[in-house]
Amino acid sequence: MSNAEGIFGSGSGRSGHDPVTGILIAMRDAWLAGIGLKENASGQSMAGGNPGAALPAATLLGPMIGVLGAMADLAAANRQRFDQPRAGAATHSGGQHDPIAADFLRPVGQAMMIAANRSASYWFGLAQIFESHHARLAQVVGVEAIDGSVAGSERLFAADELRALLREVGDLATREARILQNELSALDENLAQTFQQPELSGSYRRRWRSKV
Amino acid sequence: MTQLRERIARWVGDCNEELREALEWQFLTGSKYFRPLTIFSCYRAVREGPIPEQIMQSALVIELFHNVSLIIDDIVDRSPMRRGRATMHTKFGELSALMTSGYIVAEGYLQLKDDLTGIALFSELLKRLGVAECLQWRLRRQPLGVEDWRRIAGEDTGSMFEVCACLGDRSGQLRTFGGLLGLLYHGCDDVGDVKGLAALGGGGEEDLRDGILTLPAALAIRDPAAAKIFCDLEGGNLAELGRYFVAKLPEAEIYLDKIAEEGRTEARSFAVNPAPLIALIEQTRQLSRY
Repeated sequence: MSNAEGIFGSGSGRSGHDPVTGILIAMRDAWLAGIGLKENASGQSMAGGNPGAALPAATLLGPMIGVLGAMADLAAANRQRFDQPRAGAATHSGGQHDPIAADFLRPVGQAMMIAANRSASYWFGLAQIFESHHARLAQVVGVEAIDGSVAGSERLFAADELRALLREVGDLATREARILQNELSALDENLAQTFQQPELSGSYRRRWRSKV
Repeated sequence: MTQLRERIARWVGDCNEELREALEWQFLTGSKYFRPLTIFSCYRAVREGPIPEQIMQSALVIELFHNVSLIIDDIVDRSPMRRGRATMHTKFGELSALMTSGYIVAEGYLQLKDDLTGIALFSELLKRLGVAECLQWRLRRQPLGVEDWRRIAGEDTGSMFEVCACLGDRSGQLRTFGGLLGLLYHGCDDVGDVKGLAALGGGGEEDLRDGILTLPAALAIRDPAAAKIFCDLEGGNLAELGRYFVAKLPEAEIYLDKIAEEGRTEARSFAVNPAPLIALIEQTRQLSRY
């Protein structure tokens, strides 16, 4: 089970399913909750605004938590799979070691590990961000849903909190993508140097390095 | 840093004698050279060996451009003192201060010679600083939040340190680190001002008087009573508003710790050698703790 378990518990899409099924169930729940909220908001505006009708907003948080947890599980499962030693990956069916296959398989395996690690790191990061904001947001959404009594200053505070969450999610995605790019560039550079033709000399020889 | 100091002294000595006294007044005492230090640290974070000529040149020019921003700020804020002595416009008059600023900018570009990346980065800096100052002024006395503060500070001091980072590493890898360092510096400056410190070279009275959105202000005006005074066009009870700001200092310090941690994470993720960058973060973080 992922580290996110402590944060999310075993919510929607996380009860005994394999990670892929879990994520599909969690996404379905979140999608249905989103549709319900949207329809509710439309009905509310047509009816001239009934504060009590906003109650389902609070129920959106559960499915969102479920999606994050399921994604974290999937990423962790992938990472585990790629972390396992790949015995026999570079051997012929007869058990003989094939150096050419190893030259290619090793970087492919490394690339898959890099991608799995970044994926896990992204989902865990997202879980932490959500955890750090959701209590405050749920509180404001809940109070507003029950009696519509949230004061103007509270609304501004909640909006500030929501903006911080959105910024942090965007920053996280950008950072993880940059790290992924760096790690793949390093692998790319390594591969280029491994396959550099030794007989090339003078101006034909590869001299540059990637910007890592 | 000694090399840089000598280089600045040589540059001042070669400037037109009509402006030399004002330039000596501005450049030859009191600077902390924190921006050049940021350039050098970012260089050290990605490469080894002695500081090359191009990086040294960038450090000189960032110090020139930084001083232009100080001269203009002092005129706009009507500040009589900086670093414990009279500001340039107080000592030499506004006309001299403004003309000297233009002279410094032109000299800065000349110093860059054929460094096209440097020219592009310094142009970005001047444009962003100009926009940030106008934005900050337009948004004064508004009931905005911490995210708005972050955006303004990110364009103001943040852009300065982003450019420093790019000048040092020359690949853009440390741009985000630079932005976070600038944000941290700006926030520590805000908090230091409320604490009534002279450590960063200025007081906080101007910001309080002008309704500028500082970090303590953004936190304090979540309270409707504080927001009412802050947004009052007549100025309101500044002493009371100051007390609201002081009450929010612990929260502001926690927020600054969070930015510092973001900076450390960025340094560890993207620098070959993060140690000089983490040292910059620690040094900056201390600025609000005197």
